[in-house]
Amino acid sequence: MKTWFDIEKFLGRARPQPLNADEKERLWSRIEPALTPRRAASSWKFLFGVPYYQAALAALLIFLLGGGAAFAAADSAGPGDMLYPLDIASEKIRIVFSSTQKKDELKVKFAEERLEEAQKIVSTVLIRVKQTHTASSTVAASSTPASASTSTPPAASGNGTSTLSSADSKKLEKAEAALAETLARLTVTKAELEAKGNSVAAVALGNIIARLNQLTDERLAQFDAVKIKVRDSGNGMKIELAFSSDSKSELKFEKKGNEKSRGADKKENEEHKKDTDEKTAVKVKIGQDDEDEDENDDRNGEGKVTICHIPPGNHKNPRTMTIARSAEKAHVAHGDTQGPCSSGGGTATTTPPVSDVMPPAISQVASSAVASTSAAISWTTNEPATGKTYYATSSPLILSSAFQIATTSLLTAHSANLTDLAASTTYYYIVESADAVGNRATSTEHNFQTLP
Amino acid sequence: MLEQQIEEAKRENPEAFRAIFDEAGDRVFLYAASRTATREDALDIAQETFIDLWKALGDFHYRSDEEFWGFLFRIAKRKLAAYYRSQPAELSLDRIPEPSYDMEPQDHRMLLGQVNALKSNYQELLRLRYWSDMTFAQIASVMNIPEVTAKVWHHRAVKKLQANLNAHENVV
Repeated sequence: MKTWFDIEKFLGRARPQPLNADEKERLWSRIEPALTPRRAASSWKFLFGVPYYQAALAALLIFLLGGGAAFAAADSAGPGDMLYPLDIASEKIRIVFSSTQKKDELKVKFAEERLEEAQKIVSTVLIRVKQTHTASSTVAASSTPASASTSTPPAASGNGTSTLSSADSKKLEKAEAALAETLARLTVTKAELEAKGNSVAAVALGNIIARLNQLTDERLAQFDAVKIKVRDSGNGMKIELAFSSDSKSELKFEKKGNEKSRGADKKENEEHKKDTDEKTAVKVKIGQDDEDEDENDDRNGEGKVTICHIPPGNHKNPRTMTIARSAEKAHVAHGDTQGPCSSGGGTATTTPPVSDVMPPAISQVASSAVASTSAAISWTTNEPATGKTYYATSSPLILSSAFQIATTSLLTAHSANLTDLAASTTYYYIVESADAVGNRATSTEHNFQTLP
Repeated sequence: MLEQQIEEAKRENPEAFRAIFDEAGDRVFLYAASRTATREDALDIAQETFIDLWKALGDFHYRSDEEFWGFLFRIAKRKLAAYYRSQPAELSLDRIPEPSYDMEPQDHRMLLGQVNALKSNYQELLRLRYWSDMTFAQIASVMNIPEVTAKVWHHRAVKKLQANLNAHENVV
């Protein structure tokens, strides 16, 4: 009779034979051909690998946006009320994820899907409201003098439906001013993130800035009122958007640290994490707006300045606006000029003041001093700008996974020294430059081959 | 070490992936071989597992070695499950184990038979521990249980197996 006294020893012996050398090579030869470049992950997916962000808020967003509150608000709100925050929220969601957990990925995906649905609903509402309030949108359009759109003169719309009241136009101006300020602050934040080397976050913010810019030009004119407030408090940043004084949404950015918490336990993160320094959180609040919170509200007109507003990205449409003095700086930062626009009789002969909306032009991209393990990349820009070089051994170059060399100083002649390269290898590279206000340009893909 | 290779492989570096394969190939293969009818089947599963790993690595964020093993073996488990689905039931039931040269054949067969008679989570744990040479931390990650639980289950599985084997001997 056998005794199985040392069962663990028997178990160890009972294992199958490990791979022998032949089997191993055979196995590898079957695996190797399949090691093709992965296709670029979608925007939200590629950000998933980034530990700096937490998925927490995605769950919160789903809860809030999916909870019916958003739809209720959209129903009762005026045109664009919901559209705007949702647009931004959809961008925010992209920032907010973190762990590699499949669950979180799905949450974000569902949240995005829901946002799309919500946007569709809101668009429908928007059209309906537009039909009933054509007058106000006409006026909004005509307040952009050089606009090529077929706006009837404001005089023609004295037909009962209220034209743009002075209060409304004031609101619109305020919205513009606040939006400009938002943009300026986001640009600064983006620069900070870049300086910290968190380029993924910076790119995401860049997208938001682009979206905001687009909104300024295309959509803002349709809104009855949009109020945006930005508060910058130490680590965090809070953006509040209020519309038609009956709904309000709030986006809050908070930088948090690089820790390993998972998606599910995130709700407690929604408040404050002052102890850590590099974490991003987003808080969306949709509810009633109690008007009195508006810092920019300045009813007696004191502290106002008149400026000529040149919408970023649409500088052919300057308009004269009166804005709060506090917002002046932000406007000037994106190229607006003080004093009313000098419009010449109807047709816009305004000479738009120089506003920097043009990205730097990149030229003379070249590689030099190519050795077996190093190379130098150089290029020039037509204005002082930062420089960043992405390089990798595969083409097309995937920026998110490529090696990077960045400088944050503003230069016109750029160079980057690539080291630790593999010999006899073709490297692909792309250079990127951003000017002082964050306009960004990227070169086409170039390549060089290292020496043996 | 493993972390660097994973990061490199995420950047689509095949040499780094080869290093991961060298490190993990045997474990994946042994894990598969303990549950397939032939070595060829186990090779197929290992092949598919590593190809999937390559594809999925772009989404993997390294935190610890244990987490990587968990990630890898979850892929292997899915491949094994797909393999079982594709197999006729009777074939996988009375499969003939590969001979082990360290044990007498009848002992080997009986031991494997008794292992297969255990609860599935005990089977899994014993295979990961003795066939794939994993630590309890790694097993915990693969099976998605706390490490303490892995140790407790291991203790119970061994005890149960021992009792069954002894009972079998006594009957014989």
